[in-house]
Amino acid sequence: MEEAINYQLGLGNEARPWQATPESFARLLRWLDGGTDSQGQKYEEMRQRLVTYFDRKNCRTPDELADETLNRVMKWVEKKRKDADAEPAKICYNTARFVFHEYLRRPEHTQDELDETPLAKQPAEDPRVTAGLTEEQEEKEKRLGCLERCSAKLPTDDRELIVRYYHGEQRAKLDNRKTLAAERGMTANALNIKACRVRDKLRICVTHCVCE
Amino acid sequence: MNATYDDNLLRAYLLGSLPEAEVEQCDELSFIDDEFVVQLQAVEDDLIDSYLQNELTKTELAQFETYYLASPRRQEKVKFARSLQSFAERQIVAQTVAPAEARVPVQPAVQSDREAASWWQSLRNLFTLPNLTMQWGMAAAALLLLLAGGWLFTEMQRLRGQIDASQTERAALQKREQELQTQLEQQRTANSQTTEQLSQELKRTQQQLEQLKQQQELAAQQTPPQTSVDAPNFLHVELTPQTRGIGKTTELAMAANTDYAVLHLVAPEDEYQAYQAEVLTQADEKLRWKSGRLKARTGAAARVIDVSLRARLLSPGNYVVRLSGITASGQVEELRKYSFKVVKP
Repeated sequence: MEEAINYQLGLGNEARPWQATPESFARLLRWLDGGTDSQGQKYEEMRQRLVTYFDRKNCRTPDELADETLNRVMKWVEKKRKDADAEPAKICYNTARFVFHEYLRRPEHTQDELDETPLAKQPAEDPRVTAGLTEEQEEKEKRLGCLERCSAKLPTDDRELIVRYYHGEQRAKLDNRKTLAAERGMTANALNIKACRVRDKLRICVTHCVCE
Repeated sequence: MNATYDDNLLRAYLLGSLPEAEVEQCDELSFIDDEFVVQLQAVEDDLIDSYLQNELTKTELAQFETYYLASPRRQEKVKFARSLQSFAERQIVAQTVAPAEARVPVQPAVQSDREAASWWQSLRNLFTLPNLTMQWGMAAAALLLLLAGGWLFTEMQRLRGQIDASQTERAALQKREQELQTQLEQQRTANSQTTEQLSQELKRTQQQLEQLKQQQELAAQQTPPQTSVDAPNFLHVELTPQTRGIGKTTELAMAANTDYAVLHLVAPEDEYQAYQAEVLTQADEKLRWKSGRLKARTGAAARVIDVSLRARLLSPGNYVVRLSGITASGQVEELRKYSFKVVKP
């Protein structure tokens, strides 16, 4: 574990910088899968968790930091020729913590802090706001169009669930959800999780769609 | 792991209001616990929805706007959630309108066709107006109407049920009231009968009592007064002192029912503070009875001392009464003797 921490800290003793290879990446996938073949799904999940972690820490570049973390883990796995570990998620988390602390010490991070000037001290009018209104309206319409297309790709059952789940406000919304759960023979918690998963699928689809 | 985490804790974690130690725990769980990740995502979706529907508290809103919305990625999530809500509302409205469209009847007359078409066309036009505000306003109105209609229907059903239940209950109560009235009437009649009977009975008893009283009075007048059975029988006799000569001895004819023998002793002239009498058998001078302190009284001819003793002490035979005087200093002085004889009558 000590050695793993050294790698996480970037304190390896090698003379030239380490470069990832297809072999080292394949080893990382195997290591994350823990002996099973998830077709890269575990890697995607771990990357997503890392991105979310750095995002939650309000880092400006969560994707970059997530990749940096995975690179360090990949390097460690390659050097140790590891194919499996009891808790790969924990090793990833510990590495991510080190990466985050390094990020906090970066000089550009200080600049990030300066950008977080309180609203009261910022200029009274932001010309971008006025210009952004039309843009925002267009973006909304585009997103709605994407939602139409993405939801059409969903199984009918999931599509109906997501529409009914997000329909209504306050009391009506809660009543809808109760009815929906009862109709499907699910507990409220199971329904929440199911809706959350469908929503996540849709969100990923819509994000790609909007960028096209 | 099957642990269920506290939604409020997860909410605080997402809003950046947890202490550092707990943040680190949550950070770690967001890597190692799939259950935590799923629940956290559901809580995050709910948090965003609450923000969009103005359901956050003042504090939560402030935290949401300053902390959560600080990240462009999370802003993106909010935008997506807003679109999703709009999309869901649109879908619901479309589903509500579509069946109505299917139900429009086809009229044979050309004029009717035109009217129906123009009505439906105007409705469709309303929803295809470029003005989004109008569309969403109509959608919201339709939705509100639907919800209100549903609520009214449910409420009417509930009220109707309540009315039916009330009527049934009222009928049952009325029936019960009638039964009670009948019972009360019966009870009253029975009571009045009983009272009448009792009153007659009382009158009869009082008459009988009156008659009995009169009979008793009459009987009392006709019957002579009787000596009480319990009253004691006394045998009185006056005794004079013995003289030296032979005199006739006084005889007491003691009947079987005599309770007391009262001896009236003729007292001497000497004045004493008190007197004492002893009754002795004449033959052997055995003491049969002894009095306490006696006082002399003035009789018709002389002073007399009354001695009263139980008759049963005196069996037939001769007796002597010895009278002593008690001086002021308590000294006893023998004064006289009296003799008498008890005989059977």
